[in-house]
Amino acid sequence: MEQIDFKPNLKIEKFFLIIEVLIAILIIIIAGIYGGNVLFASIFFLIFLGAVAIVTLAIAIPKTFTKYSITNDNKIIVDYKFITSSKKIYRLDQVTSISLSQGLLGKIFGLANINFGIFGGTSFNPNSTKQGQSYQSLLPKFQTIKDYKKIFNILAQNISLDLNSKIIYEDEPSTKPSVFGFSIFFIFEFISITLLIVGLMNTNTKEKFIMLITGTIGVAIFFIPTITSFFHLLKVKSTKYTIRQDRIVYEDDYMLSATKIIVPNTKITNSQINKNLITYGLFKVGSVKLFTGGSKDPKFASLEDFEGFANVLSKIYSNINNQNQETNNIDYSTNIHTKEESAFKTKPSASFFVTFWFYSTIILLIPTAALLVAKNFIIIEKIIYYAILTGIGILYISLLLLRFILWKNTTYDFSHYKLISKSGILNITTKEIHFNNIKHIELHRKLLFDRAFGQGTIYIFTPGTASTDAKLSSIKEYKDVYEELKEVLGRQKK
Amino acid sequence: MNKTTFKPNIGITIMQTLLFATLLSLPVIALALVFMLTEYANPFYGYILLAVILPLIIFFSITSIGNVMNTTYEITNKFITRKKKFISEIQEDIPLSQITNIDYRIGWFFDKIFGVGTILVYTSGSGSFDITLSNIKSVADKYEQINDLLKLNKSVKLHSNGEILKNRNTMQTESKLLERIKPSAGIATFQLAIGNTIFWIYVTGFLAIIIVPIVTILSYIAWTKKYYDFYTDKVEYYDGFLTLNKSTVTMERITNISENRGILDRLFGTYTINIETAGSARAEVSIKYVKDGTRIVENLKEVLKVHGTNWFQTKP
Repeated sequence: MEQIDFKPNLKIEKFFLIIEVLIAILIIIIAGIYGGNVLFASIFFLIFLGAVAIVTLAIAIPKTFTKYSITNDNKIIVDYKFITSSKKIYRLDQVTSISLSQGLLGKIFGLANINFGIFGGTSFNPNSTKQGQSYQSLLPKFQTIKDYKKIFNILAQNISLDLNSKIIYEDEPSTKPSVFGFSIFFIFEFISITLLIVGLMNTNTKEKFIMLITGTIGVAIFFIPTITSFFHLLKVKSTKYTIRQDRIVYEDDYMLSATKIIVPNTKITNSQINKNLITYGLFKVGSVKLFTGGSKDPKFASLEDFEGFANVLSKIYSNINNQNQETNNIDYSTNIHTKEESAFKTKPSASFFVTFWFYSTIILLIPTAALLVAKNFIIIEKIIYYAILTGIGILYISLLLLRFILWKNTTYDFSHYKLISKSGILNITTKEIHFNNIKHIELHRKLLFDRAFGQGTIYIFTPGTASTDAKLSSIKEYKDVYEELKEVLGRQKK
Repeated sequence: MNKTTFKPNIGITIMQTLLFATLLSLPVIALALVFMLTEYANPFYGYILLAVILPLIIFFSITSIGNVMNTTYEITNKFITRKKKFISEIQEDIPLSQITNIDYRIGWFFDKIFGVGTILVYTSGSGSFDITLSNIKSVADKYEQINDLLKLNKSVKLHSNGEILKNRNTMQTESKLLERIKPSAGIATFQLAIGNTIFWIYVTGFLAIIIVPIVTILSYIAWTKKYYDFYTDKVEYYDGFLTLNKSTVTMERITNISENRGILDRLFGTYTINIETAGSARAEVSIKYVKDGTRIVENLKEVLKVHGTNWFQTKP
């Protein structure tokens, strides 16, 4: 394969510049005809247009001097040469996701952007020599490309993806939450508009005033949410999630924009299920996230069959992790809801409560003591005094109760190759971590109260952002679990 | 499986803690004495100040020293481990296969006097968590030891005709120095001098006439002591003026290379080359103010090709 070179397309910028020039000419003509005050106003317009033109040029000029290449040894090169020069070479095998995004202008002019996620931390470290540059800006991206479909497919092929690979599982997000959200905002907006109209027709000045004010405020507050929730609804309606033999695809395509994100199965490091009790209770939906250790990982929200989706996802990337050669023959469609047998289950133990209760008691004692002492120095109304004490009391009991609910919802399941950690109070997160993907582990035993009760807390770190890390709090079997994990880590290849 | 165990240097921690405690407690004691002995304020406040601050300082000193005294480091051929058992217990294990690069740093004051330093170990992953092995005597030796262990995890070596050589476990990739690149100290100093001058004039006013030449000369000397070593299996950066810094990036871990030229670079004919790894954002070597940037990048790519890493992947 030969090297492919291409440049960003400047159709949009050229179009805007032409329009700006035409408007400027129009203004000059009008100013010439009418003169006087119009001339004055037209000068302001011209200055404004000039500023807009400068911004357009500022975007267009760097693009004219940028060149993109896909080499025949699997690299992408972003080459920029104008006054300063920079040539950046990226390895395609480090790419964790490729995404195609098209905004409204892109749709009109037939152009799209291609973005890449790359393996590695996304944290910005102020000690880095890259002063003031966030890691995100260092990721490669192809801006406003004309032949985006062809280039996207070439990139997919270069990272060993088969364009015709078999679809294993398809699903679409449920529109119920977005319909609900849009309806609420729409109803409030409608009520506000009605209030405004009735207010205008009302003859009673006092009522008219109140109605006009509430109406105007309502219309103003609810206008933008109504519009955005409407477009969000359109977006959700057009979204599709697909799990194929070799990749996972997120795509949406509605009036304002189109996005497609593909993640090769081999790049998935962990996955997570999020079940918010409120949205689950109302709409019976949950969401699934997958992580690649890079940035721009897609999220699969509002899924009714989130457990099935997560299960298929888990089978796919666990097969790759365990180097199962028969991925073609595995039937993913049957039994997607059966859970694998776990080898070992555990929950946090006594010190999980005692540590929290101990510290919350101390913390809440401070305002209580302050109140008791203050009572001797300043005069406090009896009712306020008791109200504050009751408030602190209620807060205390709620904290203890919440901790108990958290304990009930937390479980740690181990199989021979992965750990499933489930936790949360209102938002229950189920994290799946494969032992192959663990970066490093830590064991912490604080005197209060892990050591006191003979328990320990294990921290498990995975590639990518901190949200994928697991914490096994205050478990009794910490020694065995830690040694087992360490042994598995020791057998890891690169 | 050989296992090396060592402890951080305690003497230096004791010195640092005592120094810090003294520096902190002296103004507090002075203030308390002022309260107690003079007419300025109620002497009672002086006693309260002492009663609150002194136990805190003592507690802090005991825990700092206790923590360091009870820390052990262990290096096996699979892990680097740090254990601490003082009041609370912590154990951290990093598998060697996850380390992207390592640095060592010898600060110019305490560290140099006592012959100790810090080794920083980087992994790719959440929140750029690294194990800092601090205050280790003979840092350079430990550093080379860890470096050697990392080499054993390397990928296969390709023969020059493309054939994969067998027995990769028994074969150690020889580490031969190919080239030593030194940045142009003069150009670097000149480019930085402009910014420096403005800064010092702003900070010290007319004193800048004395300060700026001194800083410029020191800056020049500092730049002459930096160099980049390109080996067959790694790139090392060495900086040896006041604070000693050394960074090593093994060929395998390199993800991106970029060749940049700012306006001043183009005027003076220099380049900035950034070599990045899949680690936290600071895991990289930045080669600044060097000439022949294109040749350096091409040579680096040649070495990466011969080294047989994943840098050059032919399409399946």
